Amino acid sequence: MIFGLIITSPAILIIGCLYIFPVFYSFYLSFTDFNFFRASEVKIIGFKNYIDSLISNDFINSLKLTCTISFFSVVFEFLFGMLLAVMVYKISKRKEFFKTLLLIPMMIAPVVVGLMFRFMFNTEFGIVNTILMDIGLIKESIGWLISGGMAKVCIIILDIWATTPLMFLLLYAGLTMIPPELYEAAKVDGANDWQSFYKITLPLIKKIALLAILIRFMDVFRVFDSIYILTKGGPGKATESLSLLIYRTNWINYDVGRASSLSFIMVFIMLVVASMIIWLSKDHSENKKQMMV
Amino acid sequence: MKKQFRLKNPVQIISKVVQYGIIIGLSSFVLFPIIWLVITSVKVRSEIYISKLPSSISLLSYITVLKEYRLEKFFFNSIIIAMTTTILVVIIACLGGYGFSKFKYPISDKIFLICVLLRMLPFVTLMIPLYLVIAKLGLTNSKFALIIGNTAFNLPMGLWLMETFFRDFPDELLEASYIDGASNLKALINIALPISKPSISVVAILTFITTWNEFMFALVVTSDNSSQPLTVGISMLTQQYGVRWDLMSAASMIYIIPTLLIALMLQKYIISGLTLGAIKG
Repeated sequence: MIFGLIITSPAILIIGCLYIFPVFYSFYLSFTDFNFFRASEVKIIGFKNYIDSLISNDFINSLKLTCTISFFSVVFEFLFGMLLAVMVYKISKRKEFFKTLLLIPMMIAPVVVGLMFRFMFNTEFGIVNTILMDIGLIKESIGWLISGGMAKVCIIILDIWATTPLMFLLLYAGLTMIPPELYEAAKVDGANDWQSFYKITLPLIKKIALLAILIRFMDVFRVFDSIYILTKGGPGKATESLSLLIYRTNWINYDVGRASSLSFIMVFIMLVVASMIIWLSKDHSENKKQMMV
Repeated sequence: MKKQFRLKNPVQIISKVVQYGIIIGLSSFVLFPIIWLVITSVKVRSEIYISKLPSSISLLSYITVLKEYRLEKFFFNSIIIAMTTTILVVIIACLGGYGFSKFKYPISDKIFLICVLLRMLPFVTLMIPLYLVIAKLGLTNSKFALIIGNTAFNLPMGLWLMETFFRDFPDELLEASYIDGASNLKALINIALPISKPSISVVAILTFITTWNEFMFALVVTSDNSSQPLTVGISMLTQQYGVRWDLMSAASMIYIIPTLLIALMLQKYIISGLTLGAIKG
């Protein structure tokens, strides 16, 4: 027992000093008007930061944007990931090759991904505009990163590009856990591909699928690096996600109290959505048990 | 090719074509930006702003970015930070995971649960107070600060992976070594660790890649190239000298080559690490 205490102590120490203490400290700061400029005079101001944050236009703008990005990214990633997983599962040759190929985007730093997309979506010399004009889809260059609406689309495309592979890997792992006999049995019963996907694959993969969606949601909701590089939140504040808003509040306006309160609001929203997704997956497993009985 | 398909019915052929069509279509969507990056990095500067294939291949961008911009400084910072972090995380996660799974003490389960749940915390939430602490200790703009930070970010994941592994580790093997008179520590070093090499590799690889790619913390903590890692160095390439896309693409290539090599050589470990959560959970 003492041995256990000794060998777990480095981990506990690090987690305690670098997670628990900072988070409590930050939680305390969120109730104060702490600012880097006047760090000596700190007043406790109760819930003022939270109320101010919640009703500020910047916050509502960021929240809307973050939700939009999260929703579209996760939906498309799930669809593409599922499509790829089913297709790669079905082909007999070169499975490993495609798995390796799809691993590549995950290995590239979000900073580099951001730069790559900024280059490709450039209005004057970006390859995207050039290709679209060459095949005659558009007549004039699109200002991808100059207009707010288009910049959002770019961010979503970037996120889909960067993380569909993770979705694919998770769903593929889920598919390989389904016993192949089930498909054979369905084939004997005369089910076509679509029916066996709908009746066998989807129900059995639901739990992993929801977990994959949960993991992706937690990641995309706090996205920072790629947006910071791609648009820096611009044009104006059109692509300022919650993480960027917190970054700006803390490191450009030096309003630590306010930034802390924003970050806890963000944690709260994530917890709510995460528990909804977990609730969905739990609900299902009970149904399945009933079905099995 | 046609000969192979001759015996099958047309529906099967069409579905094969559709399958490969979708996979190849989506794979090219995945590969295209990277290929374009490679092409851009070997273009001469005057052709950068023309979206066509280069007329000649030149490595000038690479030479410039290393000689004038001194990219290798950032590169070595990144290496030192990522290596040290990886070693620290592996040691602490091995010890911790072993302890939490095999040497339980009161409330050790709860402590472990807290450690693992912290992984869900958004970076920004942690970064504000962590930055204040580091500033107070006078550690800003040091590699040490980045190593501490990254160790903290990666530890929950490492701890969780190692605990999961050691939980399934057969007790009999350890008991046998106790009978031979080995101490707890000796049993860990001589018996448990050698067998858990694959899991340790997973933790090491994932930690290395996450640290190598980390940007936000480095951005707020560092201020010059004595401690800045490559992520920050590259992001500044687009600011200091205007937007030098030629240098940017060469620097990006230098930057992603190590992780791509790791990905290609050790893909099995990475995939198992990334999917373990979904399967065990």
